[in-house]
Amino acid sequence: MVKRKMLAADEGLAEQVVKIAEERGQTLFSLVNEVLEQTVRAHDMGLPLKQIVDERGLVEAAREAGFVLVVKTLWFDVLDRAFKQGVKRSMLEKWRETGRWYGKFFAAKKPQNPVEGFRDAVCNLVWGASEFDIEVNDGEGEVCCISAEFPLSYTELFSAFLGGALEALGYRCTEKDVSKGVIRLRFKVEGEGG
Amino acid sequence: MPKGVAKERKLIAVPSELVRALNEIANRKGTPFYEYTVEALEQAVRASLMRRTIREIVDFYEIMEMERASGTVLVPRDALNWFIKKLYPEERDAMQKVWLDAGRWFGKYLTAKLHSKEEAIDILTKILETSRWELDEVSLEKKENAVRVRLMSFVLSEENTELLMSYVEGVMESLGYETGNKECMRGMVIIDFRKGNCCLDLQ
Repeated sequence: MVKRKMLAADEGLAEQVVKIAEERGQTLFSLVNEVLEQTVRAHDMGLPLKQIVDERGLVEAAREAGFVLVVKTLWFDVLDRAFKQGVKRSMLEKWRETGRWYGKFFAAKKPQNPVEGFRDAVCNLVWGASEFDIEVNDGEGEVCCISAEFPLSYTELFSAFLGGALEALGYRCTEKDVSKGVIRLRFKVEGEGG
Repeated sequence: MPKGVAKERKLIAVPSELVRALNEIANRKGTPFYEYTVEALEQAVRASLMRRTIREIVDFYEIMEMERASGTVLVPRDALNWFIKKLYPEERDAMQKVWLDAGRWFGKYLTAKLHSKEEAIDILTKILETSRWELDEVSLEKKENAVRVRLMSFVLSEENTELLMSYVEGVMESLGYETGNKECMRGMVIIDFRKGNCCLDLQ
């Protein structure tokens, strides 16, 4: 017989947990047991459980937003081949267009703070970037993305993607610095001088 | 709730061994035990709203970490499909070779990372199920010295299906399997693999 102890929880929360156990045809004891086991497992991975659940939410959001997981080497190979085939201009336009779509997506999904929503999503999508940030103050801001892994082709395309997204979010690019693995874009609210 | 009025609490029975482990963790973090366990239960409620169990979410995280470490990126599906469609007619063989090599590399990565090739096949199944979300059905059926792989998708293009097949062949090759019979058409891949030199047919 497993030794048991009693755990206190707010009534509302306890009721929700009871309901989940009922829906899943589980006993409350086994459900709570599973939750606490996974909490210890998460701790052993070096993370709080909340962060792991957050991450799942972000990946689901990425999936809903039309992202797929691709092996990096394959992705970079495809891009390099396409660049060599001389379709750079149409590729850049395609990426800008995709960026515009994501800009509009976040403008609709997070109308209070679309830039922040876009930044958070991109931070989670751009695996392999050692640095990625978007800062906005008083209608102007800067995007910075650094990755030693990005080939020039991907850097240029990603920069077009970011430019397209910012455009859809109501900004225009005022300064651009793009070289292999480094993107710096400065931008202002559309319509402001400069 | 007005200040000073205590919230109603309920008591839930849990294994004392787990309480001890969690108590230790909470102490190390300097978080009150009550707060720590309530947060865990709150996450279970969030997981349920995502129509997942908390175990599935932690399993998924582990797989994603492996994917991240092995070098995958999230890319817009439309853009990827656009490139492949544009390049594939002229570069089919070269691209299949690149996909095959990437699969071989990933198979080696799994072999190095995990304890056995059997475990690697289980992880490959999970990876195909959870993170290749264009796939509607994934089955890697193990039988003695053979494995039958069946992948189905309603959305995968013909080009992507062929490339996926090359990738899976590459992974299985690194895990010590040879390709036997194979069938590939838009959105469907069926391959019979056999271990080393054994010629066992699943059919």
